[in-house]
Amino acid sequence: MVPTSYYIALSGILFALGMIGVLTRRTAIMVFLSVELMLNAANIALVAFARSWGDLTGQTAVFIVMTLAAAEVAIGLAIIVAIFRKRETTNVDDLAAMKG
Amino acid sequence: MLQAPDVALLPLLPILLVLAGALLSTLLGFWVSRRTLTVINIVTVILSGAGMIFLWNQGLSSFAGGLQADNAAILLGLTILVGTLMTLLVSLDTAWRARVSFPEFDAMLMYAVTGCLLIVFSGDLIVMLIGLEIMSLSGYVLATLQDSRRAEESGLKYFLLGAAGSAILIYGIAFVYGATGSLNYAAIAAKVGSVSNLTPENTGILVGGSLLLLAGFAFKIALVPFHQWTPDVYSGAPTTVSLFLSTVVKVAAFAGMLRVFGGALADAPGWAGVLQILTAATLIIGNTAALLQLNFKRMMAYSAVAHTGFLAMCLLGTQALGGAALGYYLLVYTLMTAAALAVVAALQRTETGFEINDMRGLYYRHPGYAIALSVCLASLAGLPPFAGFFGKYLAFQAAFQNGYVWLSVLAAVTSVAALVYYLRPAMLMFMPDRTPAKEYTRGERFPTTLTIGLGVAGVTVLGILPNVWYGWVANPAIWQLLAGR
Repeated sequence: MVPTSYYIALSGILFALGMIGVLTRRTAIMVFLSVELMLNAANIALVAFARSWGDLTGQTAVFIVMTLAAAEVAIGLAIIVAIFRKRETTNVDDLAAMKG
Repeated sequence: MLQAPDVALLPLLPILLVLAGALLSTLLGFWVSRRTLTVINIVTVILSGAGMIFLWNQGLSSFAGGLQADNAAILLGLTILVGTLMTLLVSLDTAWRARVSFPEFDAMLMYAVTGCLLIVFSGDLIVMLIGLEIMSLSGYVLATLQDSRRAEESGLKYFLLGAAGSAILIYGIAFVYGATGSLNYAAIAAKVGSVSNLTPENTGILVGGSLLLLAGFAFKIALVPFHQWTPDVYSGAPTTVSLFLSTVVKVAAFAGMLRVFGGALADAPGWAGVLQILTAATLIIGNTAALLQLNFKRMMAYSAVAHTGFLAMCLLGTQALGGAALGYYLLVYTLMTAAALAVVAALQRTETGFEINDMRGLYYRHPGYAIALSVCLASLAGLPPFAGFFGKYLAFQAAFQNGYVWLSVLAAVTSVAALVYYLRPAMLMFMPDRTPAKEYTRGERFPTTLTIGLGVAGVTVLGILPNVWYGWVANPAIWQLLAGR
């Protein structure tokens, strides 16, 4: 049986990759994709911990997190599409009318 | 062996009433005008408040402790409903000018309130998460809803940073679950309370999880350095939406923090030290940045960041003192911020709000609103006899008595700086001015006046007779049961 720490390490790596993506990517879609990566890292951690505790609560929590991610996609893509229609770009650096 | 879940709908009553308002707005939006819907929603909000008062002292819970209608939930829930009521009243007058007067606005607003109440009534990390996401997702839509470049920019910024914050929060939940083996507040608190239950390895995971949760919540309540979205969102969104986001949504996020850090993780090591540093940074940066603003609406956004610092000090207090201080301060903060932004929403010519210099002579053009705005600003600055003073005093006391002396001193120093930026517009309003009015001259309408009157009356009455509200929140027994033990 693979020890839980391996799964946690994997989820930690995924989460870090997602975090780096959020901080460095300049396209709204790619930032959003990185956020999804972070959510999936959380899902792996939840499932791994659920297995090590022998408890199903964590597994059911994953379903809820997946649903939340889907709802977030619906709203997020709608916002991004609305912006793309008006400006023909989703580069976050171009969205800098407000500063200070 | 399957057990029938414990589903009692009575504790859910206030949430269900607000949800009914949201669903009605979604469905009836095809047939009736938006004003009718807003009136319906105002009625559901009032009914929901009556429902909460009915649940007072009953201490009900449902879904095996996943949802609890204890007194703490009811007090914070009433604060949220007051903020919602003020938003709805203001939106009756200003939504059409902001070009957001369609049924979807009401529906999204009421869904967001449903999420807020779910956070307040939560007894479980997952219920809290669902509420937080309903609230945040509706909030992203509300910020974007106006068809303008500024609103879309603010919506995208809010969405991307909010989604990243939620992801960090969920990762924190996973780690807290990993350390304690439960998502229920009471079970987590029982596990955390006696460290002998935790292996050293699990203690490490718990510290990591609580810090991730803290960072996730810091995004939602706008603690420095996670506050970057706040000024852009609050100044880019229509003022009615900023009013909602800076009062109701912030109260709900603080309620979630109180449940998690004041209840479930109260005895967990590590997070308090980090929170005091973030609070200190918030106090310094929020107040300094507000000093530099030229636009009144943007200054109010930074003032919201600064107030996050004062409110977060309550979380550093003991449960009894800190919970009471937070319960009092959140209501006062809602009243004064909502009334001040209601004046902006009524008198602004465009959705950018007005420049501070354009407020010169406001008293001679709109005497009632100018006096109301200066009362709110004096209360925000923490001047007696208004309620903001007592709120700040309680917050300082909560932090001070729990040993955070330097933080209380820092907060006192920064609130002197706050005096400058709050009182400058207040003084300008009373200076005579001969230039033509820069604001919308026909903004004074009855529902807005009612809201502002409510805010000013609340701030004054609660300042002179604090016990009207503090008497209810000061009972330490309420806040000792945050986790539902």
